[in-house]
Amino acid sequence: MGAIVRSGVSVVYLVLVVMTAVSWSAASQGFTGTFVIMTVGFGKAFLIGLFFMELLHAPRVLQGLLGLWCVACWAGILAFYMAG
Amino acid sequence: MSVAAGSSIGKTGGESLETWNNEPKKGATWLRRGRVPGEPGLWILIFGDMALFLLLFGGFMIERAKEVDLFRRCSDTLHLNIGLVNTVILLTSSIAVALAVRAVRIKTKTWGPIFAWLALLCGLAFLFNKYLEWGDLIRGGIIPTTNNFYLWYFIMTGVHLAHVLIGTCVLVYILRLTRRAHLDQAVSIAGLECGASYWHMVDLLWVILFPLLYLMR
Amino acid sequence: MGMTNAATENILFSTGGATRLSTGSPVGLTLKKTHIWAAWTGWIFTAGFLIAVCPLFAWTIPPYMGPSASAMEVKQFYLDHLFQIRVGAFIGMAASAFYYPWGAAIAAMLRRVENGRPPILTYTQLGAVGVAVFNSVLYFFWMAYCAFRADTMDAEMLRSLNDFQYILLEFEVFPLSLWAITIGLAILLDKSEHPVFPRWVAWVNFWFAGLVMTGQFMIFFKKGPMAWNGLLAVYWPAFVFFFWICAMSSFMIKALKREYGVRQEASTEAYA
Repeated sequence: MGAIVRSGVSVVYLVLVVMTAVSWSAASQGFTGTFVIMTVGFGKAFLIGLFFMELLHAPRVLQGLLGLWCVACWAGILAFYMAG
Repeated sequence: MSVAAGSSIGKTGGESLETWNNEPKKGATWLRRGRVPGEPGLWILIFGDMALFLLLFGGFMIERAKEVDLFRRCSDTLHLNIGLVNTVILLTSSIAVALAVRAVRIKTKTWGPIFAWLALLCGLAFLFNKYLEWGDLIRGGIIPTTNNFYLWYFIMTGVHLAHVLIGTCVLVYILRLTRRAHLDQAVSIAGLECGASYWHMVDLLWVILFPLLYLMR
Repeated sequence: MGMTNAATENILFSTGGATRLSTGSPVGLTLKKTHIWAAWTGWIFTAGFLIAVCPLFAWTIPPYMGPSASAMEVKQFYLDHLFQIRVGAFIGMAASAFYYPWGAAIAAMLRRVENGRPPILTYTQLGAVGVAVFNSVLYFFWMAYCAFRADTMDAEMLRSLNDFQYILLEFEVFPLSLWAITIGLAILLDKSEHPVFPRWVAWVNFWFAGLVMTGQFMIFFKKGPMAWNGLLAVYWPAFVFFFWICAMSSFMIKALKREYGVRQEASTEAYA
């Protein structure tokens, strides 16, 4: 099992769990809090896409679409948060 | 044309994003070089699915901007701990799927099915948690039509739940493939990767839904 | 081939009509051309449908009102727009005629994938064509019916009939999804040397099948994104649906022009 587990994805998993804990414990009041949780959230999504979905070695088109989606959602959410 | 197990890095991706023939389009080699996980068409499904969620996020935030106080108050009533546990559960199921695929690739016999079972159990645990969470809300008199927040909450988690349900079937398919690999039978790596990517998408979407619904104030 | 009518006439007169023209069909028309026209019906259906339902005519996509409108508001809408709604129904019915050739064409093109086995996927598609076109036709029937005597109809009854119009527009989702899944399966299972459609086209069908589902839930809501005037009941499914129709149309035109799916070859694993 060691050979399987000892790979980049396992490290990414631990990073993701830590990021989850960070966003859960971060003060989610006001814009700063929202900025933190959303940035962490889309950071996690991006990591999942790159490492779990194996887009790291995929054609740039796919990486670009993932990045575009993350940025568009992140920006949109924060923009509407500020408008509220 | 049958899908090969995956072209190697460095090829111009002739069988990947092209349409009929294998001519790579001129000038697109930088964009196209690389290995497409699963098969090219899958990414139409995955990004197409993510497009729907982009609209859902936008719709939610627009509604929220109209009734910020209501949304803040109602966020407090959600089961934060269940949401957190669900996030970790899905992350764990994702790593399990990734390791199951890895096990099949490096041909370690027993571990593929074991990781696949772990992923499946995590998926079922998520479903069970959702049953507890929704059940509690509904017993408390909170239904989708109670107010705008709960409408969007139930719709977003509901659409996601539909994806989890389909994803659970996909996990069963992954389990079957890993068991066939375990028995040294031929297994479509592309099929395995397709299923895995779909489940990762389910995880990816929840990772955004959790802060959006449960954490945002 | 290529003779003008005048030239033909001259020959007929001079030889007493004994000349045989090559095929007897109108000059220049071929089966290939006819099939390509048939493939264009998806675009024609889309254009006709969207024109029929746009604010210029029936005003149902985007919807003028929603399920929470009062009976009087509904009746007022009909009274103010009676003629244009009737024209919309008329155009829509004409558009619906172009729906079944599109569906039939896809089934015809994918039939050879099932060479050597019973053509179950093909027949399923043809059955689905019936169900889908019935839905489209009934929708415009109902629109016409609502607008026929709206001025003297009871407002509550009119509102109820109007609700049914939207149920017809939005509630038949799963039958369409299964249709698309059937098409997708047929494409994926095409193991011939020159497949009818490229593999990824199957995934466009799977995308449609999955993503159009949000519309199926419109029956449970009168407000919000899943009400019959909402984002997830009208706009998103309409986008996904017409994208699917037009995309498949274009793929067919391309395949027919390049003659893919035209050769008589059986699939290489006919009994697989």
